[in-house]
Amino acid sequence: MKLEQLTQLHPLELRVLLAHQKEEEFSASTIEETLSMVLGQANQAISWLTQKNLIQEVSQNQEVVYEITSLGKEWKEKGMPAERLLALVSTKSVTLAEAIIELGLDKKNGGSAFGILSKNGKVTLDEQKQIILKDNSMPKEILTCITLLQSNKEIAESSLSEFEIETINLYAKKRGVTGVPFRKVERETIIYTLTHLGCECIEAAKKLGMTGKELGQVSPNMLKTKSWVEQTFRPYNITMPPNRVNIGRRNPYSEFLQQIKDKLVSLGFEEFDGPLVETEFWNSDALFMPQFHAARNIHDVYYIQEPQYAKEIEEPWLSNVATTHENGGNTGSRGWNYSFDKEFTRRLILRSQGTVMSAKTLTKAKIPGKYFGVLRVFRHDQIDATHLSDFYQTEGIILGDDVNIKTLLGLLKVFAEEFAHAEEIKYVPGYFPFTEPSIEVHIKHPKIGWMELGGSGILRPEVTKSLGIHVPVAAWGIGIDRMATMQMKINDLRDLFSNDLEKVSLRKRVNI
Amino acid sequence: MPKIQISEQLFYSLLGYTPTFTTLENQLSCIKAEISEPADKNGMLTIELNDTNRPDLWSVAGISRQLTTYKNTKSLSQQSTTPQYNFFETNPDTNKKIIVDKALQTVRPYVLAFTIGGKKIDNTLLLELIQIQEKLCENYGQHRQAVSVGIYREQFISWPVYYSLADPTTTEFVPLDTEKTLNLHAILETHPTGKKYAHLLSKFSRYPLLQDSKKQILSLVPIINSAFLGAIEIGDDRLLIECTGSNLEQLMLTMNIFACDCTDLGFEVTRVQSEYPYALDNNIIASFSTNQSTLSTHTLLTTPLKFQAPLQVSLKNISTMLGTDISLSEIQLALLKMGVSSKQIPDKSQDIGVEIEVPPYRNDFLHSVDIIEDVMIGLGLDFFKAEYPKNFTIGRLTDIEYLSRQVINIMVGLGFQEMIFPYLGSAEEFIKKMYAEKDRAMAQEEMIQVSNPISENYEFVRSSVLSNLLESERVSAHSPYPHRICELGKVVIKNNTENYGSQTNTNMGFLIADSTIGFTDINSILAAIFYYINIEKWHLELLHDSRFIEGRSGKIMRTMPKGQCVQVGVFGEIHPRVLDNFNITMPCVAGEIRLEGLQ
Repeated sequence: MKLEQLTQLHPLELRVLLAHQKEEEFSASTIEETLSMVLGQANQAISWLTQKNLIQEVSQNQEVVYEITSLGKEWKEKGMPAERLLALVSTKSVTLAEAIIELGLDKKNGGSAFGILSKNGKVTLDEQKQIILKDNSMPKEILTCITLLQSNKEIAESSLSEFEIETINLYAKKRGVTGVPFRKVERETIIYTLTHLGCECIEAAKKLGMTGKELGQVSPNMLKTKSWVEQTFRPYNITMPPNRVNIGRRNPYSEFLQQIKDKLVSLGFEEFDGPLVETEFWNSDALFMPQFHAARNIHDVYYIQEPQYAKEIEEPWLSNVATTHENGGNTGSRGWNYSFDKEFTRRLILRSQGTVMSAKTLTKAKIPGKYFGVLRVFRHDQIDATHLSDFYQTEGIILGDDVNIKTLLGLLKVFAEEFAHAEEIKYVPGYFPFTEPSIEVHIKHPKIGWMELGGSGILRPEVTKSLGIHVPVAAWGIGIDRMATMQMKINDLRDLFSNDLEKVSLRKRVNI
Repeated sequence: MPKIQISEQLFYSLLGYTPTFTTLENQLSCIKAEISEPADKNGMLTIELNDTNRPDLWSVAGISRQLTTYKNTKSLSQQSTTPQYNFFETNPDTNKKIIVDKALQTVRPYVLAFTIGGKKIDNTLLLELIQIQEKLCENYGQHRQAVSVGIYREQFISWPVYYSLADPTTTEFVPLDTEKTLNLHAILETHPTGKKYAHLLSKFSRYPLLQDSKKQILSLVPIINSAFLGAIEIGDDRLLIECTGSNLEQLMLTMNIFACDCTDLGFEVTRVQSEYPYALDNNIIASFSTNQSTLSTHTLLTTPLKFQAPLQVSLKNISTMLGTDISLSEIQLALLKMGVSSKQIPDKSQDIGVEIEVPPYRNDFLHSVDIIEDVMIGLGLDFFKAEYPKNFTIGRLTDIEYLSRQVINIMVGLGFQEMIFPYLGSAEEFIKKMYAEKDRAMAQEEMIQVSNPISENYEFVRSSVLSNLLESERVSAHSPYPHRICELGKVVIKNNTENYGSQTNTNMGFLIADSTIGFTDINSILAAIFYYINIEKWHLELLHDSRFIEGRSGKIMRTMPKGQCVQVGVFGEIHPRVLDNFNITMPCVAGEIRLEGLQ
């Protein structure tokens, strides 16, 4: 017997074990009696001990017992109906009907009380139906019944004489019937003895001085009365599987976004944010994407139904950008050589790229300055496992005279190390409509191989000069959703925005 | 991003070597192209081109040209590795001319062309020519709006070709992919290709047509070719290639790319003249004035034509942008590897610089930075050593982000699970399920609607977080109760006083679903939020909002420091009609607070 198993016994189990000896037979009802447990506790202890193979079933006994009903308890108080009827007719002359009313009996019990007395020759009726007393001594079966009613607990049939059994059955019915003083219950009693393991267990428990009276849960009363002093605490089974707790919690994906933001702040970046509804001007024109650009048609952005146009585009940005598109303006470019549409540029849309906020930030940026945004953008895509209608983009800008290709590479390297813990990095030329030159950074993932982490480039002078900036500006973006899905082990982008509470609340934390 | 399919065999024969897949992958990265898998069972490779300003790379010839030049250029003296296209210097065949009608000036003013010969068309070449045509029309030409290209069997054409407007009812021919003679109206109304591109002609009463001197129709421009002159067959050895559109610069580049590709594929190119009864685009004319002749009544333009102006950049600008000092010869060699020849010049400020000759098939040099990128790629990114940015800057979050985090922390402390939802949804979810019928029009009026949704499921931008929370509750009945969920995100509501006609707010919505939950519970939650966020002056007013039970819901009013009262939110018991609409059988209370109102 291992100590660990012993300490895991419930006090009820321990008390049952310690109360018995080898080969001694016992049952739930004997435990109830000898250990003064309630029957439920006795049954629980037996069930646990049997499972642990500490006690074993040896036989089953069919037993009949009689319980005293509430009517029986009433009769015990007031007397049996026959007893009371005999007493009444000893004092006055009444009819049976008058006697029943006076004694407050029901007709059936009143009638049968008279029947018993009459059968035993104690009373009779005269011609006027008056009850005549012949002998005022109590019949034997009534006396027997009165004795049985004095019992404080159920009466086992095995403890009764033949006459007693005969008598009690006159007054007993099976479960569910009312109007009788006894309820007859047929019961199966299971007899147990200790197993070999059970005996060993008792020996071990005795050696350790365990009594089954060790303290359970610490209660305020225990503390108040100091009843714990010099007592021992019952050890619990600490390896039992715990219950599930539902807690209030951050969403792991938004926590992940927060980590991205915190990381960027730690690198000296200031956050920007702006409206979901934007203009073609800031979303694309200010980024020097020609209005006839292949990626700018009805199939690529969501247009707003009403209102359709912004009231105005701020000057001098509108004029600067329009001129730059048409002939390069003063940016050193030859421009796109077309007629810039100043109405189309006011068209309201749902922003389709976070760069819209980079462009707007340029108009009020500090130099040197570093800015970022984790922004919800909208894409005109069929929604499936790899495409969402709206999702987050992480990107930003760096303004300063130290911005060049080498620092661009340095920035991408920091991102690869800080966001992806990448050990192998490679750079390849990239293409973004608003940067030149442009570079992408790829990282080697241990499982899926080379993957693109992000891109960066130096904003075209057509963009920066039109918006009043005359130092080089690096623009960058990192693909965080790929990292998030990999960390969260999900294959479907839609799961990032799951509305299933169960799914979300069971999802574990992620770290960048 | 255009994707092209090219024959592996043709590709490697043009390259002159057979690269391994990994080598090819690496080499393609210097032209911003990606390949994801080896050739398929038909021997075709799929390559994705990322640079939308380099349509010259959207063909097997274009890719091979750039890769071999990059690989084979080892020294500056080796000028011959730069691809040479001598046809630009040849005289046009004066018999081959396209005569343009004056009426085209306001419809689709330009047509440019050349012919090829000297080689029989086989299946691989045919597929390649069709792919070049398709990529130039669809991707570069914005689905034929700006540029459309046609290819014809020149051996059957009687020159000159006429480009004129035709009556759609009386003009008829057999278009490709049918055997029936159809008039132009019928083509646009019944032919699959006609229907697809009909919108390009919808505002005109007469349609552009190319036909030869024997009135044989070449094509209805820019819709479809004739089934005879316009259906190229294997074995044909003389083809006419033309393009039409309204942006002369784009059209010139299209012809140059196509002609250079044909040369690389082994054809001989013959230039063709087009004759206009009107003046051409002035901006473009300036750069090739020697190549066009203006007669008294009409203008002659011969194509293909080197139209690009040379461009300059100073050494100083290159060094600044690349973050490192680079010698003139290194720069010139790097450019040469990119197929760009250059010469040394003193620039405007008397610094040393280079002037490049733009290759005839490229037009992506808008600014000197475009030259610098070619220098960078020519040198290779390994040439540069990564350096951390040096300037000191202070990082910080937005004020609303700091506030958001504090509010979310309080909500988590109150036992809420934070959610994140999409912002687009349907009228059904945002309006119909939420509001009583009489209030729906008003609710919709406040909401931003998308005029070109993918489907009605993503037609509105949410103006409230509440319907997302209820939708979440609808799908979460299997999770143990009580449910406490919240979301902090953006909503948009219309506002006429704003420049954009709407404003984006940051809202925090919260919902509790439980068998015994009511107004007093959520009232306590609200009081806790305001207590911990440290706002003392606020009170409730009765809310009339069909999403909630009247009398068990309130407007959250905040008294601002200057004394004015501002509504910052709503909350209360969700109306059972709303719960029923979402098939929710658990009582819900919910609320929503505008964070900007808590600042």
